[in-house]
Formats: sequence, C-alpha cells, structure tokens
Amino acid sequence: MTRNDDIERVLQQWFTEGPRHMSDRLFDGTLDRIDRLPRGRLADLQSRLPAMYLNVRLVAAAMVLVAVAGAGLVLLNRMPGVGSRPVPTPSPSATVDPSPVNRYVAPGFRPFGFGTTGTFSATVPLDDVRRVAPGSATTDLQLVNPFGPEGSSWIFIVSGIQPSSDRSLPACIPAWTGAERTPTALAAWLGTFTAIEVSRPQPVTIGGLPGVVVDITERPDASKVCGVYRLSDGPRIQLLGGGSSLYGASKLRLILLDRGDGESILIDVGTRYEPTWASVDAAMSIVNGFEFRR
Amino acid sequence: MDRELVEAARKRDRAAFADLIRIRGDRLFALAHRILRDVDRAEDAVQNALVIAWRDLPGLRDLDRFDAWLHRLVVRSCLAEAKRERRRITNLHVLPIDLPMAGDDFLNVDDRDQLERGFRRLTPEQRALLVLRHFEGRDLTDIAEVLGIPVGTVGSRLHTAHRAMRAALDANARVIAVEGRPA
Repeated sequence: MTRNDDIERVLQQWFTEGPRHMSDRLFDGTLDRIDRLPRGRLADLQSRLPAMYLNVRLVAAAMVLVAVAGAGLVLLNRMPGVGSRPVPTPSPSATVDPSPVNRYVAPGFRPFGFGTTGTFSATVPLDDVRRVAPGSATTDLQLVNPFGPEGSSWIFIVSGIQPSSDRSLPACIPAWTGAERTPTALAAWLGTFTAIEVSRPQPVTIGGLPGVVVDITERPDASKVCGVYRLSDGPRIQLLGGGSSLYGASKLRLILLDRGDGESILIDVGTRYEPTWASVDAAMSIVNGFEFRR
Repeated sequence: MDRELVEAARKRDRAAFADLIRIRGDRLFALAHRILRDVDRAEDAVQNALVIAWRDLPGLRDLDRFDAWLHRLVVRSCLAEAKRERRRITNLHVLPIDLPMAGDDFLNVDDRDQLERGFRRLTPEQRALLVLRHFEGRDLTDIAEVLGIPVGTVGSRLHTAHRAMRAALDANARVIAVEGRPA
C-alpha cells in the first residue's frame, strides 16, 4: 500500500471514512444523565446571581433569608414528630390535598436540595415539553434514597411525552404505530416491549388529571433479547423520548396522565440499587401531592 | 461561535445546552469514533465528556475557548475510554461493518485492514494527535490548545506518531508477507 511520505495523505483519506452522525440515543441519553445529576442549590444561585441587577439581587437575598428563617421555624416546630409519622399508603386513586407543604414527605425519603420542608405542588405548562421540579422551575426532584447512593432515586415530570425514538435495539424497542399519545395507548405500547416486565395498567388520578400507572423492571435476560447495549453504567433501555429510561437493576413507576388533548404527562418515579419498591412506594406520597394547572 | 447559547448554558439553561449538543454532537462523535474505532465506546466517551461539560461549564471563564475546552474534554474522555479498552481487550468481538466508504477506490480492503491494525498499535495519545491533525485538520497551535501541551511538544509527538504508524504498517506488512494474509 502507499506508505512513506504519503502516510499523512493516507491517514487523511482513511479518516474520512466512518460514521459522522451522533445517534438519537446518544443525544437523549446524554440529556437523561444530565437531568439526573444531583445539583446543589448554591451552585445554581452562584451562576444566576451575577446576571441579576443589584436591586434584584438584594430582593432575592432578602427572600432567601426569609425563606431560610421560615424553614428553620417550621423545622423546629416539627422536630418532635419527625420519624413518628406513619408512611402514607400509596393509593392509585389518591385525591389531591390542596395544602402541599411538607405533609407528603415520607420518613426516610426526603427531597434532595429541598431540606425537609418544601412545596411540592407543580405548575406544569401543559403546552411545553419540559421538565419541572415541584416548587421550582429547574430540574427533576432528586430524592435521597436510604437504600442507595445520593441521587439514585428521582421523580421527574415531562409534559407532552412521546414514545422513544431510539431504534438502536429493534429487537426490544418496538416501533410506535399509535395515533394519539394517550396514557392508555402509551401503556399498551410499553407492554409490547420484549425486554421489560410491565405491570397491568391501573387507573390513577393525580392532581385532578386521570391516567394510568405501570411498574416496570428489566427482564433478567434483557441483554439476550436486545443484544448487549452498554453505557458506562450498565444496560439501558429508552422507554419514552426526552426522559424515561430503564437502567439495569432499576425500578420505574410510570404515571401517565391525560392532558385532555391527546397528549400525556409523565411522572417518572425511579430508583436504582434497591432490591425492593420501598422508595418508589414512599415517593408516591409526594406524587400524590402534585397539582397541575393550565 | 454561538456565544449566546454558551452563555445561556453556563447559566444552567438546559435547552441552550441541548442546542449546543445538537450543533456540535456530530463532530464530537466523529472525532471520538476516529480515536476509539468503536461506535459504542465513542458514544460512551462523548456522553461522559458532555456530562462533565454541563457540570463544569459554570466555571468556564473564557467563553471564546468553549470549543477548544469541549474538544479537550472529549479527547480526554477518549483517552480514559481507550485505557479501559485495553483492560477489556479480550472481550472485543467483531461487528458487521455498516459504514460509508470513500467515493474513490484509493484504499482497498487490505489497506484499510493494515491501517486499522497499525492504528490500534499506537498509544491512545498518538491516535488522538493523528486524528486532530489529519481528520480535523487542526494546525499545531490548535492541537496544543486542545491537548493542553506546548506547540513544540505537539510537533515532536506528531513526528513520533507518524513514525510509529509507519513502523506499525511495516510490521503488519511483514506479518502478512509471512502468513500470506492478515491474522
């Protein structure tokens, strides 16, 4: 072959061959991982404060002080009762309590970054596809999982959920052929995945919106069914575009709610490294406190 | 450079960061693939680099250096992935090739096989250097910025990489001559 002084030209030619396009699964997977990164509130504040005008900064600082003082008072008032409150029983048809402050936090399952107090009502812009955090407008609600490392449990919400566009594993991710992306249709489609075990959809009402809830785990032989798909931390099956993925040894409870316009809102409650559904069950007490407003 | 997007992403605007990924993703993936010669590992390396980029972006002082910084993260991620690859080398298996070929017939199958085998003999650092130079077409100053080493060092290492590639190809040619075909 051509060598010697042509080595540079040969390399140049050879490098032009090969794939040049990032796959959807890489794009979605990257955003998925980013959204699940535990984030400190201080880091956010540090990046936002310099962009504010001085008077806005002063107002923001005053609000933070008031909020911290208020939170401290609430915490002091509640301390004798911490840990003694019974765990609310998850109910697929729970009604919404209009008073959202702290009462939905189950013992041993506290929201990361929110302390032990917080407002968990969520105002979801129903026309946008975006994630919201209950009580703020940043990212998903990371939860401290007593059974796993920090950040190994989560709740996140996506308005306007879509079926996965990941076609990298055609043997286990079936193509979406439905018309309207209603909760029932999406749950039925998830039931056709060959590599996961999906519970029978149960009716649910969250924040006044009707829908269905399904529990999902990976089949033990998922790799054989799908072929090995390796990310840095284990097999991963993308279920719904823009968000929900099932990692090896994780458990997902997907709550699909009817927006009333043929689209669905997803509440994804997940946990990793945990042998039981205890954290997911506990998180339902938070989820049941969500409210949705147009 | 879309400075506004970078600025917004630095302030934790997820949509802006997603746009940055969309704009640069193809190039970053292609770069990683040329270094690692494996789609899955290239995806892992790019994803890890982008997650680090999102995490550390608020600390980036000079936004004009965003692209060089991002490329540096990807190259470093590739080097880390390549080291893991060496440890797992016994688990490698051949996958069907479904890649676009060049328009002309400048390189035949044997040429490509020789190049592939020769390239894999290089150190990950040498591979990265050759890809930055001959795939991305960067000059020595650019490469120095991406790799974070002096320009003079880039020149000498590039020379060494070319020599190593020639030596690797020569070695392969000898094996082929003895065995009659690639092993």
